[in-house]
Amino acid sequence: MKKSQMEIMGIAIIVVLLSLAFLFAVKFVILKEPTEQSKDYQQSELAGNFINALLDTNDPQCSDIKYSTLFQACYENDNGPCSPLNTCDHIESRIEQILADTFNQWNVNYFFMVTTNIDDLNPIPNLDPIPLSGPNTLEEVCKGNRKVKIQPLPTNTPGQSIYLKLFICD
Amino acid sequence: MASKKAQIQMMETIAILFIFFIIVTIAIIFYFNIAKANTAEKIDTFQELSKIQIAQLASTLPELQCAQENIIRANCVDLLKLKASSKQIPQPILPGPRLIFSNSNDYFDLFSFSNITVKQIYPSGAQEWTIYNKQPLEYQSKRLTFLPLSLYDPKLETYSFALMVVEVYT
Amino acid sequence: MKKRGEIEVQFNWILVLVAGAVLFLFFFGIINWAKQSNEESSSTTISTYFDSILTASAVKEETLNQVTIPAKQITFTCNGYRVNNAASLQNIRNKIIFAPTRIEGAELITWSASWNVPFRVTNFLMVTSPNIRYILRGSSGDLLFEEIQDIFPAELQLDVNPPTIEDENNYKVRFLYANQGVDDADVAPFKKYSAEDITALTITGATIDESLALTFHAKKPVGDPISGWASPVESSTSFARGSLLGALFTEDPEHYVCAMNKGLSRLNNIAQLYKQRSEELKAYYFSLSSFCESPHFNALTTLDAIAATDMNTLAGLSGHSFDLISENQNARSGSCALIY
Repeated sequence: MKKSQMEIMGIAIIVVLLSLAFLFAVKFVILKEPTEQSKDYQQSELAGNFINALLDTNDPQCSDIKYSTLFQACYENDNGPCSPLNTCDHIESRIEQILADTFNQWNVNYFFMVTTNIDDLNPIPNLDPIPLSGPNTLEEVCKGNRKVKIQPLPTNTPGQSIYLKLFICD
Repeated sequence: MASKKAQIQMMETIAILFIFFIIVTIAIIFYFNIAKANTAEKIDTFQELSKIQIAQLASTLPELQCAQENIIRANCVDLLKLKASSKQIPQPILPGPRLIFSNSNDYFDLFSFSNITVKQIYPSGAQEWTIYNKQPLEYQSKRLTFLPLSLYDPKLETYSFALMVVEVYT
Repeated sequence: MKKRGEIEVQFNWILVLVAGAVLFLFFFGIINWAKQSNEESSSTTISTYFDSILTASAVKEETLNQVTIPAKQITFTCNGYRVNNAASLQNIRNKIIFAPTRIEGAELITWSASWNVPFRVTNFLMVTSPNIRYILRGSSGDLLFEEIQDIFPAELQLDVNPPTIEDENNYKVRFLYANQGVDDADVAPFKKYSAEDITALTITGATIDESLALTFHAKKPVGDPISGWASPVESSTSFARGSLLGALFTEDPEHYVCAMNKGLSRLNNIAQLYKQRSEELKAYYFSLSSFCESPHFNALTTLDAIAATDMNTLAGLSGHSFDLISENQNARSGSCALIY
């Protein structure tokens, strides 16, 4: 009697050990979250490349002036370059078109804003020279991880720059 | 009675071994499944990296890159080089072979099974060039990435906004 | 009295031994298989990692990286490399790599340098080890000698005109002679080393930006009664900085020529591309009756000649390169689109 009880105890211990090993394996192997290094890299490259390419683009309707200069002209309320069009309105419609043909078409979640304060995560309506970000806040659009590219542009006002911010979100 | 006891003992030993081998087999099957999942994850990571690698290589080829006396402009493709390297959609105006598109076997080591196109987004969205296209007879999926870049026209000395779209067949 | 008990016990032991042996063999087989599988997996992971490093180096210009690879040895050929004597050769695909035949140890230095003739053709990749010793001999005041010292990376061990040479236990030693011949006395401390590990390169010419004559040497085999350099293995040529750097780090002349042929194949393609580009610009400027047509027209013949270059005519690139630079300067001074 005692010998068989001992043997059954032995089997029970083995089953308990196996169960523990199985639980550990499930927790640390099967349920392990995959690393997302390539996604982070892609998002930051995308944001950087988009802004760099945008700022270098010449607009034929504004005497082939680059967008980097047009943003500055918009901030300074200079409507000369795109005359008779309003510079800010023209930039807004063109950039919306570009964003539609790129991020919207490829289902990339993004938040694009132009602001006068580098720390702003949301545009200040009366200060945001180009209301591109729409009615939603950053937190409403970007709920998960995000990568940001911030590009400062100088202005003629001493000490004042405008900042282009592009967030690419999960 | 003694012989029966011995027989029972031997049967018991055989039964233990049988159960033991069943447990070991279950453990091996479990291990194989985990290893298979890990390998699948590694393959997935590798394919993601491969997609990024191909996009990076395509955008930095001397055959396409903007350069002025070997000073390279990042994220920029020279329009005339692009025309000489790729097939334009619709039909090209210039006759003759296209360096990369027509010699896809030479570039297979670089781009493997993939499709690389450049689409002009702004000012005009109608133009598209296929730099490289090699599709396998069978594939399971296509991995897509796109890279915004500038398209430089040396004749007009202007930059357009374009996208390089890379589809990798896996 | 029956003695079944005695026989019964022995049968039991036989059963135990057989069962134990089966178990032992079973687990031994699994462990062996798992070990081989892990080794292959590890080798593949190292190769993938190394491939990424090489690709990153090829994409970026003029970058030097010090990397640690968990491998004991990597052997290179013109078309691939092998990690730790693995069965399969990893294809380096389109990359043009100049490397010693064998790199031992985990530390590697990778260095990419662009090959400009005068337009950029491709990046050449140099792979070497900080455990390889390089010794440079030349005359101070010689421009080539000074330039080689300038372009040599600081991370590598370069001894310049050492008065005496001693064996410092490096597994490979490479001698570089700038505008002078090889010296048999230099080999004396390295008698026990094999011929492939003690090599020399003589470089003859004015400056690294022009064509240079190269001669590859190897030490006489171990056991040869007279120590010194064996007869010249092969003569070759380099043009421009990128190819000279390749020659500095490649011991095997066949590897150098093979890699240079890959570069020349790319040169052919890119020169043809620039020619098409200049043809289109020439036609455009012609339609505008612009002065800018002239430099592009003049460049067409030069680009044709550059496209036809092979290893036998590499020295002639110097003249064509100068002509193209000159036309490009003409284009620049006329505010025209540049040829390259």
